[in-house]
Amino acid sequence: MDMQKEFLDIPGKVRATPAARRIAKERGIDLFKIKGTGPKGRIQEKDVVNFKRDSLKVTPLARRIAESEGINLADIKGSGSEGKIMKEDLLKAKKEKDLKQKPVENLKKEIEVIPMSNMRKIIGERMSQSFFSAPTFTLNTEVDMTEVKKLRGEIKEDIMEKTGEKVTITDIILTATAKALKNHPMINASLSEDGQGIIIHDYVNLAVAVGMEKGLLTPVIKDADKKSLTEMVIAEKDVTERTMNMKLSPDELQGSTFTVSNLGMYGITHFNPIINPPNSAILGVNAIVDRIVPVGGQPVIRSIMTLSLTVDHRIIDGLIGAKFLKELKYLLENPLLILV
Amino acid sequence: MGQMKEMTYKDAVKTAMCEEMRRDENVFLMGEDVGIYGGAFGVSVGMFEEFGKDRVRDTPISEAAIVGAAAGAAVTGMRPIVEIMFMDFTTIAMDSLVNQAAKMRYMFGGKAKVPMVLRCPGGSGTGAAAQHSQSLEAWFCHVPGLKVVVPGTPKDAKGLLKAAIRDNNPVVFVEQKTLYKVKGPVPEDEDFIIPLGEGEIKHEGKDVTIVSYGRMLPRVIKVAEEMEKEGVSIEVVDPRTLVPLDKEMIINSVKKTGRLILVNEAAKTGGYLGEIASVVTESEAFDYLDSPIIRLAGLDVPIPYNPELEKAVVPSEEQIKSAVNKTLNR
Amino acid sequence: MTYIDKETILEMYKRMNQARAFEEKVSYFFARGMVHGTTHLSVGEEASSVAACMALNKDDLITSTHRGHSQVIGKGIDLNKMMAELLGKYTGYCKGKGGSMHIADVEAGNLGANGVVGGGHGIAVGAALTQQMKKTGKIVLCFFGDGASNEGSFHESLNLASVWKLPVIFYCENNLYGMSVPVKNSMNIKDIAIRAKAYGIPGYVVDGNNAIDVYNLIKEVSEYVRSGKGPVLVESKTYRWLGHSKSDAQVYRTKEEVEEWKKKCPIRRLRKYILENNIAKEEELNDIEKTAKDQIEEAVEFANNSPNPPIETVTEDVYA
Repeated sequence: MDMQKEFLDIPGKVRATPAARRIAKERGIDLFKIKGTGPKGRIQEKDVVNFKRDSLKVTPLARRIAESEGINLADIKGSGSEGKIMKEDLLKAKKEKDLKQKPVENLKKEIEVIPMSNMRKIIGERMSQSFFSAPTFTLNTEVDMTEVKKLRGEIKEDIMEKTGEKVTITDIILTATAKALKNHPMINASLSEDGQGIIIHDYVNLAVAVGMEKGLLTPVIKDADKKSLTEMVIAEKDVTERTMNMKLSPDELQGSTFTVSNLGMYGITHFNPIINPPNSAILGVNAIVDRIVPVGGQPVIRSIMTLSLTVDHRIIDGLIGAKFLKELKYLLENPLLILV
Repeated sequence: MGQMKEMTYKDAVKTAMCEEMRRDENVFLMGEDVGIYGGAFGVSVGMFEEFGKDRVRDTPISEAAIVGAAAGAAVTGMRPIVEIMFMDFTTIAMDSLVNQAAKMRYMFGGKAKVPMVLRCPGGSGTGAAAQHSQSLEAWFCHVPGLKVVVPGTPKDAKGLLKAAIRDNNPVVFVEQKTLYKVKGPVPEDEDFIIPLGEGEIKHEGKDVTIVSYGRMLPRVIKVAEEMEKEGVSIEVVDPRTLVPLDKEMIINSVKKTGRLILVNEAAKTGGYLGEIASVVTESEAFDYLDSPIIRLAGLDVPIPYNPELEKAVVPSEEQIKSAVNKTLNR
Repeated sequence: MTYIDKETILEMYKRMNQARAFEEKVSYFFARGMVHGTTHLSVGEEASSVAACMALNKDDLITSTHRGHSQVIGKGIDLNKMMAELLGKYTGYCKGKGGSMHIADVEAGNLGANGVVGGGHGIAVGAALTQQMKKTGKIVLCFFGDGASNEGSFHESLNLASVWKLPVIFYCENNLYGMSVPVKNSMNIKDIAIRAKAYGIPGYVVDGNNAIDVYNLIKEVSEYVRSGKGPVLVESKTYRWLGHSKSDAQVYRTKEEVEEWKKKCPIRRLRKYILENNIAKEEELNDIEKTAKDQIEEAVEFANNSPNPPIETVTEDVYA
């Protein structure tokens, strides 16, 4: 028969199941912060899962101290009953924070401060300006990209012959977007300098977000609405390449009427892109994910992609934005129309 | 699967043998008292009458010779089924089974095959005491070259025995004494085969996985059905074949539920449940385990005669329920 | 006494010489530590094994023992593949997986040497059962030694074969010692052949070092066994000149005894018989001896030039 030995806890180690450890690691939660409800205080999966969801137990005084000192309550381990955060915990945390803010000489050389590059500063200013001035909201819609993938497969050799380049999904999306924008001038519009007027353009200049390690640039493909798919392929490749090699002329970074930002290749499924001023909207393109969807009441596998359209409410209302997305979705789901 | 017929576990065994013997003239049965007597447990009743003394052979009490002869016949082109009256007596035939049958193919560089089936009933519960009640399947699982099968239902008995007879390797087919008279639906289709190495989910669930086989399986299924009413969802996985083991099915179930209990009646120490537990912790199911793996097995004792003592050796329904509750912290 | 044609006698003489040369070569290797594991040599027992095999039909079967090199050579074997197997090479009979104690050529009727004393009894019975059930007319000769006749498997197998009247010749090569224990200390009888009576089958004793006698007897009992009358037990009295295995200092017997038996050398006796009966000339016999030695040398060269089995094959052929 088993002997009931007193199994001691090992200092510095926590009792947690493999499942709990996995989720804690995924979510970046420190296991030591979690109270386990299993035998011997073992942390189980649900303890980790619930840790995120539970509202923190904080005394009002502690909460006020946290706010005024700019301390994140999620970083505090509460000493009260059931992990409630008390005043003492905040005072302790404040002390530690103050210590951290002592002159640099007192700190070990583990922190490095990188000065902002000019590019970074400009991006920062522009994004801040856009974000803090425009009342924006994002509309999301799911597009069945199965037909686009099929079409691409059918034409890629032709285009390779004609242009020497590979036609990408992005190319097809850009062409469709330019086409759709012609029918939705408000989406293609710009806010006037004084912020009082809306400028309607009779051309479409598509800015394409090109992300690099050092920062983000948005080179412009002029007269995108007049370009065929083949021409778009060439233009997009050209402008992207010259952006990467920093070989753009200043006027290629200006004059856009609409911007497209594609994070799909990084597996992003949803995001709220920030408008590139003076545009009135920006289209975020997400990853294409194979999913089971009902078609005629039967489950089939289709390639689904979310489009995220952020619009400036001063110029575009929900209805207008939605209509544009609806047309763009329709074009992408019937892609032969893009070639017409 | 087509038409089903309600029949006992032992009839399912007999039906499998008869169908295979009708289909392939190289298949024959030999063992002690399998002829006119119909076998110690009545499994082969009627077979002598149908197939005659050449193909249903009574042997002297000579386990070493009859299993050795099975190996010799198998390696020269026959497909013998050798019945050992009690699993406990495989001890006398160990050289023939382990040193000869299991190894000939490998030792001879792949230039021989030994298509034989050794059938034997194992397990306690009939008051047969220490030398007639053992569950020794772990021994055979440990011999490369042997396959080991433990059916827990009549349908599995039929489908697996047919597969075992058609397999070109020596297969140890462990029948369960206490299940011989249990009835269940069995497909009538003569081509119904359960491939060796394929498990079956006997009861779907999502809270905890129980892997069990043989005599304990019906007990586990009953617990699963009862606890379902309390809102506890148990997934019962029956590997059916122990070697080769359906690891994928077990691993996927544990990944789903995060909890594993293993149940059999064989003595716990060195038993096969330890093997399954290790397979799980070595696999990626490890990251999904949310409680320790529990083994419910027989006590490490020879089987006693007294019926209450005999019962106390193997896991009971209460113990299984208790383990489920413990693992779920209920 | 049956007439044996010249061709057969000379073939017998050749194989006995091959066996002797093979064993001597292997002994040489082992003495120099050039071979892995151990081996059990049958020098001195050539007539017992070879003549018995020669008297069988070509498609009859045998089970062999751990001391089985002359047995399998007697049955007819590819010397190259056999030597290669001893050296663990991929070109060996068992692809290097069996070694000396597990030489086999199942298709040619050699159901394998056995590393377990008494391990062949059951297999021989089973193989004979197949021949009976399929009515092939073939018989099985089960080689085993004096030690094996004390194993349970011997008694179980003889009993089973006698009851089912299976076509097996149980052929016991009594070389007077198990490993180190002389027969007088391991059994209460002098002639193993009398155990036949316990199973109601015919038993015979033969001078295992007289190739002609062995041949004639096996020919005779083969007919009996082949006709379906049941198994027989034959005891062949012989002697092994070398130790049990490579690491045997032979402390259990005297040098004088060994020398006495060497005088009864089976190869010399057959040579004498052939010359005395004008079956062949000395030059022919010398030729045969030389050829046998050469063939062994060829086998060694073949084996030495053969590759080892690839490491991946370690997990192959466990299951069919």
